Amino acid sequence: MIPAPHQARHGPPLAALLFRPGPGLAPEAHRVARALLEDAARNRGGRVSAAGQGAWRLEAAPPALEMARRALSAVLNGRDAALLTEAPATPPAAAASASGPEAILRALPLEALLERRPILGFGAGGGPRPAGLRVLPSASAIAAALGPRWAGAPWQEHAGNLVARRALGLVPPPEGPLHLDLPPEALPDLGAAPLLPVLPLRALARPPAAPFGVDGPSVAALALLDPAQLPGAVLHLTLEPGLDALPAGLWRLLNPARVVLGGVADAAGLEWGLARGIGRFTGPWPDRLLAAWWRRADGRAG
Amino acid sequence: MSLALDFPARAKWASPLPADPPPLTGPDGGAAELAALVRLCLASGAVRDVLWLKLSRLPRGLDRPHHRRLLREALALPQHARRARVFHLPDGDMAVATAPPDTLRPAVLRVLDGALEDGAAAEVVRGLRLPEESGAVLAALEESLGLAPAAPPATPALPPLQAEALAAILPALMRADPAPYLRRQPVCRLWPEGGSGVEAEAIAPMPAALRDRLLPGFGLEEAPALAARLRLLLEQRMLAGIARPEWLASPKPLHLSLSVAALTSEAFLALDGRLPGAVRPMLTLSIPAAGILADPAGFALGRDLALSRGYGLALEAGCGAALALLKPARIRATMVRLAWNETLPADPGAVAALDGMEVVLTGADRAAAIAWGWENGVTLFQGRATDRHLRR
Repeated sequence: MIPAPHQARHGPPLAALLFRPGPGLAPEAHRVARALLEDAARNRGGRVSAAGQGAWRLEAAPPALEMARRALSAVLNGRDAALLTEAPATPPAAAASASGPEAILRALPLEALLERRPILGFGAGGGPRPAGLRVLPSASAIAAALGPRWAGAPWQEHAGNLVARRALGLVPPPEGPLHLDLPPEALPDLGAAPLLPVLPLRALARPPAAPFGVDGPSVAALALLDPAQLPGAVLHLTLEPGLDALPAGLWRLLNPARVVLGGVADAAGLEWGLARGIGRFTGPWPDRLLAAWWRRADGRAG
Repeated sequence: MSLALDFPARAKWASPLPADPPPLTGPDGGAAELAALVRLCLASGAVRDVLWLKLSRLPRGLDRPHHRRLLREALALPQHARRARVFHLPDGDMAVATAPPDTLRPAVLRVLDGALEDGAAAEVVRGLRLPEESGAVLAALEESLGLAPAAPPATPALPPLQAEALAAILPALMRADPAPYLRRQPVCRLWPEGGSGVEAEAIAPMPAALRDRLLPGFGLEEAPALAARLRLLLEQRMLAGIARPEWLASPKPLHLSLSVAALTSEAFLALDGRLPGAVRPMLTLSIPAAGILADPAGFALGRDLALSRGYGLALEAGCGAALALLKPARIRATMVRLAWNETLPADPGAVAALDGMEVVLTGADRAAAIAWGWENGVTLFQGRATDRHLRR
């Protein structure tokens, strides 16, 4: 069995068993009761502490408590002592320390942990215009905030999920829909929020019923899955070298109208996407085109 | 009572033994006789319409004895009585099996016409056809016997697992004996006509059991990345314990549930190094669809390694959508481990995607799962419902 010496310090116990001796209880019985509690803590996980006036408390998970309760009842049967089971003890949130990713991220403003990718679209006349906003946890900002102690998997992914959940309250921009990257586990908390959840590809192992976008697929994923069966209202593809080598028929199966091509760094990337029927883009080059559009819009407004 | 769900067979799906169709009439029976009828219909391919009268659902305020008498009279009509068998079920429901054409259902609906609103009639009178809907008949039978799975008790939502709590237990886990946190279940070949045998043992990590012991009070659902790490550690400990001398002395087939990261882990490579080439095909490495989608490049590498070394490769999926997206043959899986759930019968994509694959129906804890499997040509099962077959 795995020894569980840390349980009482790190994981919050679910409940506690209180041994409270009466005035008529022999000192030997005190010692026996305490020894039994400590034995239960040692063998099944848990912690024994003095509770004042000769009472002792065992904090542990329910199975260990039940074992201890039975052991003590057998010994104390008919003697002057009380055994009380106490309801759940300290809530874990209170027990959490300030050095974990949860606390580090909580202390930072949400905006500092998010990456915003304005989506470039094209109007009826072919002119560029804003087509919404993709918001996702910023991997670099999170890594910088967490420092070397929490580098690597699974901490970075966990931290990204924490940040994504906090972003559930964001309000969509006036110029178009909000695409928010979310873990599928957060969907129940989405409620009627006016945004399109962008789910990691793993969520497609059991796709949700409500509309959603997909983060991906990557070229590696496209090599495995059947593109004709790929669900999702929006596919956030990233421009990567292997994309060019994909068979031409694949784009028809994917339906380029639902693709947003990310990581577009120059005019050539944009042209490449347009040639495949893709109409929405993010990345440095689209950002420049959108900045120009905003300047013109401001000029018109002014 | 022991519900005789140790079933059937059916000519269309691989029954080597011919079976006679069930008799058209007979004395009134109970639940066991109805289960036997299901078995015979599956075995022989004989078609029966089962009219399920949920008398327990008759609306309040109706003159129940009166309606029951009318129903009995309808059933006793000569044109029905000659071709019908009646089954009285423990909760007061009645089931009537007739050979086609189904004249009984319209007659019964006429009796109830006017007494019940349209929606209510559908609640009370349900038509099912054997052998196609064997699973639904058996599910209704289980419900009638009070064997239907109770709704899981509402577990209080636990606060999500925190990174520090997990980090604190990881060092101890590296050396731990994983046995208490691994679920070992036989994979059984069950033939509808009655034969059975254990073909393999399936081993899967149970991160929730580990959580219960080491991190009580924390929920894993809202911390998927941390839960996956807990699972990966258990998998690595599992892999370290596979090549024991007693297993190597007489190796038996094992299905190992592994995440993609475990497939290329040091623990797997170390195991691979200790296994003679002839023993490797005994292991079927079973990868969940979600993991493949999360790390396709890692999966492709692990798959190529596993296949080139002679291991079996299984895809774990739970719905038709996953199987359609990750076609088993396309990703070069040699087996599908399909997880049973109540929505599977309504999911046509699941069966369509199984074409030609070796399939294990996992999580077969209820007889309805086995019936659904047989309806769809599956004969390998894993789950508590296989127990009663193996005990015989």
